[in-house]
Amino acid sequence: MINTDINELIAACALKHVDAFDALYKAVAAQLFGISLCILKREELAEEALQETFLQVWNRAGEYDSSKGEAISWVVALCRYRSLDLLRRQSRQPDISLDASNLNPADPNDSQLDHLMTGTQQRKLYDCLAELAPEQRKSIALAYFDGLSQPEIADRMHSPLGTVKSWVRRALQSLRGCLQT
Amino acid sequence: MSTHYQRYRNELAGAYVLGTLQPLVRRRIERLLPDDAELAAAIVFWEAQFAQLALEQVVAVEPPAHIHGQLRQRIAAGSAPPAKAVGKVAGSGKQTNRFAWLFPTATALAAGFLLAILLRPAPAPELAPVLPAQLALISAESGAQLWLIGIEAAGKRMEVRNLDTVVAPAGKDYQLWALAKNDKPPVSLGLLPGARITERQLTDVQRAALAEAGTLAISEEPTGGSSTGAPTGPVVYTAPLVTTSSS
Repeated sequence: MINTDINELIAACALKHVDAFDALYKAVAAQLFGISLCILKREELAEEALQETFLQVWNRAGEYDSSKGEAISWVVALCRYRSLDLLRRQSRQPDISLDASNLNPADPNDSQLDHLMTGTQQRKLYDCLAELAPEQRKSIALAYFDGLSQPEIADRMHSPLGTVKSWVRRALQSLRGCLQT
Repeated sequence: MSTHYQRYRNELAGAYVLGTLQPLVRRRIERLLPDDAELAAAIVFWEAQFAQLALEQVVAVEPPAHIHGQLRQRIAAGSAPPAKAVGKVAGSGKQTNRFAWLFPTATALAAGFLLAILLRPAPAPELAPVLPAQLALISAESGAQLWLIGIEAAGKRMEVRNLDTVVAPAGKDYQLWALAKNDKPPVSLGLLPGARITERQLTDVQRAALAEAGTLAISEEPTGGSSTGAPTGPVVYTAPLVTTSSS
């Protein structure tokens, strides 16, 4: 489904058209569930995040402003924020109850990141990501896809927290500069 | 506005979208958002960039079929709008109230709340909620309500609501048991997950046990649950299993 359709479905949801809600669910639920699973690793938590996301979309569709970005980006962001809320609420790291091989890239290693880099070369974001130092790229991927905090990234990458903070900060600086050129 | 601040703001926006900010900074950003259009625009920028990455790189996974039906039910029930800003709930100190509209107070438990306990997955939003046939409210000694267990009238499904986001100690899992009124051994009803709401199908053995059960118990077991088919750890909570008028 192209982004224009998603925009229209969100607009129809704002008018409380249940058919539009159903169509939106059909169009994006699997993608959102995959994103939640990547972060939460546990199916029941991902289900909760998915439900909360769609309830927010339904309740807040009227707040979405199409002039400020594509609706699909807004929906994905809602899904990630809800997933991160749930993740942070857990007092311990979630058990890995799913086959991590289904989740790409749940634990991005160098080869996965190489694959990520070659996925859609024409996109500027990929070009900009490719320009990052490997550790910067991996930090960004662990934060975004796995929802790891910076201390967790430091643990995962066996690096000092200050170093990780520096990687993330410089990666964001570089990406923004690259994307604006 | 200085270039330095502009860059700093862009970094903050990027970190906000990544989710790497400390809760305090995150809340500060959210307070600034209504009055800082450039900050809001920077967040939209990063959300758009990373969303495309997620959509292209994360494998889509079909959610269980009942999720859609449950959503339709919740929409039809007129779920109250949650917090008004994206991420506003995160770290706002209101997280425990996020589900307040789903979980009325304890005093409502015995009355209208029963109607909302089990929502049968169904495509049509106008279907009425189903009253559970059996209920158990598991509480701590302090009086804090921990779990609400509902068994649907047909006895095929059980819904578990984690009322207080209870999480078992590290290396342990909480396991739910049906205790018969006679001397029959306990029957496992499965592990209690950390999720707010879970629903599971009951086996014939579990249904038979519930039909004779007067009490539900929760034991603390090694991760993954008891390997013997019987409780091996301490029983940490019990609650009477109440039969409702719908059974």
